[in-house]
Amino acid sequence: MKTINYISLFILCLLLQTCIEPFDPKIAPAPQHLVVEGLITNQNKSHVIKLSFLKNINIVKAEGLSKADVRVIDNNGIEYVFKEKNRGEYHSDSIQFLAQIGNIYTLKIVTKEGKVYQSSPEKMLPQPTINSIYNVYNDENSEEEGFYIYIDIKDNPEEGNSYRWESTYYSIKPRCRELTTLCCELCWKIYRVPNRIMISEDKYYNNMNSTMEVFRVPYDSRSSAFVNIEQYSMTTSSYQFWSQLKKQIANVGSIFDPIPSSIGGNMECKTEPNEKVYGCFSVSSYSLISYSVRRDYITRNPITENLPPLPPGPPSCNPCDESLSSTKIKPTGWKF
Amino acid sequence: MFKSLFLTIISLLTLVFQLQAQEIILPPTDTVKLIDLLQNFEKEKNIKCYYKNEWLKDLKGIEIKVKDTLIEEALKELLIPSKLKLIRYTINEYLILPEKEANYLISDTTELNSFRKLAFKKSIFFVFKGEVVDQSNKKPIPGVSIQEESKKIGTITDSLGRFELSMSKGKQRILFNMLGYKQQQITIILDKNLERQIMFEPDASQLAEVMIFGEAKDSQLKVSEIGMTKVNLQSLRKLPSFMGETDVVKSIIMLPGVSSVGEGATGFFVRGGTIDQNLILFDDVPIYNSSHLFGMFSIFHPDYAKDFVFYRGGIPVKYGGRISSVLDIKSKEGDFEKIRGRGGLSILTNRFSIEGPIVGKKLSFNFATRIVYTDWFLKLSGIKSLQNTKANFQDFNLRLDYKPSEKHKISFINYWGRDYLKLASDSLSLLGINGGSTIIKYSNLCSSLQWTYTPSKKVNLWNSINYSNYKSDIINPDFNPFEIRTGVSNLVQKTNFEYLLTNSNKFSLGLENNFFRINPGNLRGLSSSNITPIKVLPEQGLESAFYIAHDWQIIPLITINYGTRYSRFAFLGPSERYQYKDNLLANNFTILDTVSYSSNQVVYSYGGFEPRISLVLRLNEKNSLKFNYNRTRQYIHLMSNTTSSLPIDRWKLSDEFVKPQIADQYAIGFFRSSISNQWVFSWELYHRDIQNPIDFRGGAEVLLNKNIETSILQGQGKAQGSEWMIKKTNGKVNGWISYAYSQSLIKLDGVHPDDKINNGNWYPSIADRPHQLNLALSYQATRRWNIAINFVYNTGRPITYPNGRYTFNGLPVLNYEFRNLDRIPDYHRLDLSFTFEPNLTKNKKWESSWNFSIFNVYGRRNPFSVYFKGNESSMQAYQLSILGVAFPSITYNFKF
Repeated sequence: MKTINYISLFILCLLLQTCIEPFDPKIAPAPQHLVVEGLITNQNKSHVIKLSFLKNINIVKAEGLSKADVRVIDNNGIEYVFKEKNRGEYHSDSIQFLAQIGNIYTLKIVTKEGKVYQSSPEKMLPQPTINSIYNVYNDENSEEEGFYIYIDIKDNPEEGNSYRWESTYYSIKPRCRELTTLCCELCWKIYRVPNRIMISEDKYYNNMNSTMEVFRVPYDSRSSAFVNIEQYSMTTSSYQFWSQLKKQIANVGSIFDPIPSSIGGNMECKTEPNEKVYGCFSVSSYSLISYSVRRDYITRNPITENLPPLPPGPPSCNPCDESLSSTKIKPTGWKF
Repeated sequence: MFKSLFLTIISLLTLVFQLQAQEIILPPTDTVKLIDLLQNFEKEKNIKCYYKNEWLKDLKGIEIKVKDTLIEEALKELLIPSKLKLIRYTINEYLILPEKEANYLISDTTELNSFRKLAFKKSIFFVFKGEVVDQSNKKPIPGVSIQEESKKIGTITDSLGRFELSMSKGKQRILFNMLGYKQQQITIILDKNLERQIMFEPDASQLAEVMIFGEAKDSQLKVSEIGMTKVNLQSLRKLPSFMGETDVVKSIIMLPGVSSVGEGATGFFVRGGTIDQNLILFDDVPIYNSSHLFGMFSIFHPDYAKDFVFYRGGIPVKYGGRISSVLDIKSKEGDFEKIRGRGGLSILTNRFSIEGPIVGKKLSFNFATRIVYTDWFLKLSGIKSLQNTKANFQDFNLRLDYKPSEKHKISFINYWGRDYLKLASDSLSLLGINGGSTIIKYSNLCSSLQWTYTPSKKVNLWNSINYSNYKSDIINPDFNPFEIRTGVSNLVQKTNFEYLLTNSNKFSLGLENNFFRINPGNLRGLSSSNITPIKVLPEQGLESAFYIAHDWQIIPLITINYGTRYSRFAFLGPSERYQYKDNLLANNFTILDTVSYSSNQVVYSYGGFEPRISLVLRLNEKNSLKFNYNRTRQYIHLMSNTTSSLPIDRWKLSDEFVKPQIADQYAIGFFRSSISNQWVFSWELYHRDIQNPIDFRGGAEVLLNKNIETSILQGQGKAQGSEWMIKKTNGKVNGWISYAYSQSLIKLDGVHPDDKINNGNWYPSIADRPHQLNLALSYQATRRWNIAINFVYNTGRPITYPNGRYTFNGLPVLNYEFRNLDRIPDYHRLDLSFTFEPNLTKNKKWESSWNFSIFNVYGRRNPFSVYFKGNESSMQAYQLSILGVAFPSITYNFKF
């Protein structure tokens, strides 16, 4: 059997699945190019435009673009100024600026050196009609095991509609900070799959009832799972950006991969047309769908964390940290 | 021995003389000149004597009595005072020679048999021509090397086994050489044009000399094409091979100027050209995907394919449609005499072929099949993720040859092969559709009907109708099942006419029509799926070409081959054409309108001449110089922005947006062979300019893109290089070493900023491999054992590394600003093979051999690609290698 396994290793390679190892190539330092990250929605809140520079690939912290004049202009010519709160982070005034479906918005940035950057005009497209939302348990193979959530949407007939979903699965954390201490308050664990971009494509689903997979809830407990699904509409240019991003993230160096390229956004430099600008300014309508998944009907045992027994004596507790993976703020729609 | 033979002949002759004896009376005078006497004698007895006048003019006749005397006796008597010798040549022909020359002639009995009008006249050239056939099955053998003993003159047999040599009159000793056959030597007396059929005896053991790449010896010096290689597949048997399968494409990659895309990838690069710039013909049928299992094997059955010619420069006018190279593979016609079979078994592959006559000796068949079935193996592996993986292929070949007469030959040749692959992982995420497992199916169907008409040895007319159909399917069988299909079909008509005006003048002309139909891709949902079907409109086009060429040996030392091809291409309806605002193709938002074209209506057309010229100067018997200029045009392009060609790749015809690719190649070559022809050295320099090479915009989508023109960029390309090769063609150790230095660049500098790549500067194309070293050696250790090694070294291919990164929505994003400016680590690999032939007896019924191969002996993990992955805080580069371990295989081959 050992030899067979040895041979099958070759076949494994043969089938283009393995033989991956770390590698340290020489990479030139990054040029000073502006990166724009902006999303405005019809939510009644302060929206953020982040301006930074391209950084070397092994550097964590990006250098923000400070002291720029950042404003969003709508199709009636009204300009809304975004103010810098943190370095490179520009916020809108949530009372003054409320974006509306059907309006067209353009982002304009003037740096203190006088360089002008501008986005293409972006229209806020409406939400689709959701016919149903349901889940299917799939245990075909262990890695992908879980409850797949699908959304049936009735697409708008207008061409150029696409949607993006960002889902968050919340569960109550049994322990805080260390596995041996309880939480002093109600604490939610936040589970996202950041590297999995869920986007629909109008070209495949235009004006039809269509089903989209939006999330996979892992089978880590028998209790019901609570999922918040945020649904964004996307314009064509925003869709192109996200789909290129999705492709880049899916890139595993296989022969199937397209030759990598920079992701083109919808920003350009007006004063120096040859200068590259990265990132994207998106305008989306927004809706939140809260959904819970029953998990108690599965006969198999869930794959759970092995919690060590609590140390003897009076139980100590730790506070719940506010982070990307935990929160003490009750999630919107939480009903358990 | 000669003496005894001579005596035998004399006694035989005497016998003949006696039967002829009768009374002749010559004038009894001593004033008569010998020459007059002879002339009288000739007239009276109706005989003919050959001599030089100057030998006889001063001699006097003598009186002889001829009554009761044989003619020969009488003549001898006449010649006594002259000290000239008489040789009877035929019943009524005599040679009169000075003693010295006569002795020389007599000592070589072969000459007596074929001696004719021994030309004591002026020196002139005569033609020696004929055909070489296999003694066992009477089939003509192409590629036989024919050389005059001094090696000043030589040629190789053409596809019909024919040859023609022009030599000075007199005695000539000629050598015939071909791998797998015994060397033959014949001596001819050339006193007029001569024609011979040469029977070649197969060399049963084939051990005495294994010539890797059985190129006819010394053919480099003789043939006017530069950058051409002719290979008999038999000669590749002992080279190391992947899983013991002799492979046409893998052997091509061992030539200078040719490099592979990478392990597990389809196609090859020739002199900096992309993979779709290679015309691959299998029995004249164009092949659109020459690989099985992503290039692990090629579709050419090693026992069915007979030989191939590969042109990486100096492409003859009869080939067209691709700009970089031509690989012309021919299959074996079935044996007309007896049933024969061959086969091979290894762990995963099984192949078998059988050939033989069907009716009488006029119709023959050759059938070959190959089946690779890995399912059981993958199941056995015990690895869960592999149990849902499948990788199988089959192919079938059948050809029928009918020879109703010497002048006609009709061949019907077919190939069908398919691959079935199921990958467990989600390989399709790039399509924007989320799927589980993926099934990839693809198939090639090829058919060719050919008629060769040879009314005389000077005229050859060849006609064919060929059909090629390549189809690929990608199926996602899981949730929302769907299928994407692409394909290309090509109907080809070809007529080629060759006329041999004199032995040094050959004209050829021909006509070729290619009708293409492309399915660029359509997506449809399967069963319960609610995916909207997408159908990219099919494309149709007609490429017509006419060509004419003249092969001319101006003087024996200068050969020129010149000609031109004129090709015309029309993109045909039905079609819906998009019109773009200001011809801005940067995105599909500039679409203004669509225009409809009806069926077969010409949408757009291109045309142009493709002049080609080759010149060979033979400096002396060892050295020659070759020059070549080529223009080639290409109207069908592979749309691929992935690293290698995928089975789902899309083909595209030239239209109003996508211009034809045009290449101009200039090459000069120097060739030197040692006197013994053991060693051949070659050096070739080339430069190629390419108009409209294709590259893609960043992030371009190819599949299912209805506006593919918005993804394509065309600019300028250039490739140049220098290739050196030293080859030893025979002996116990033979093989070659080659080194090539080359460069392949592309420049995309459009007006619009989006139409520029790398700011409009020259950058390396995907096929750029500056240093390339190949070594192939074969050593016949004993009569039974042969050891062969391959070594390959290539500079790593160009790749795009990120020049920075940023975070977007919490996701790490890499920025790849400049294309192809970095390189993956270099590629090198060593392969070993041992061939064992247990039974060396001649004429055995069952021949077999064992082949043990190790592919990638030292387990080099050659990176196929490099990619980056990470999270917000750290980013790591990874290299992916395919076949990164030593891969042994054992194959049992048999033949009956």
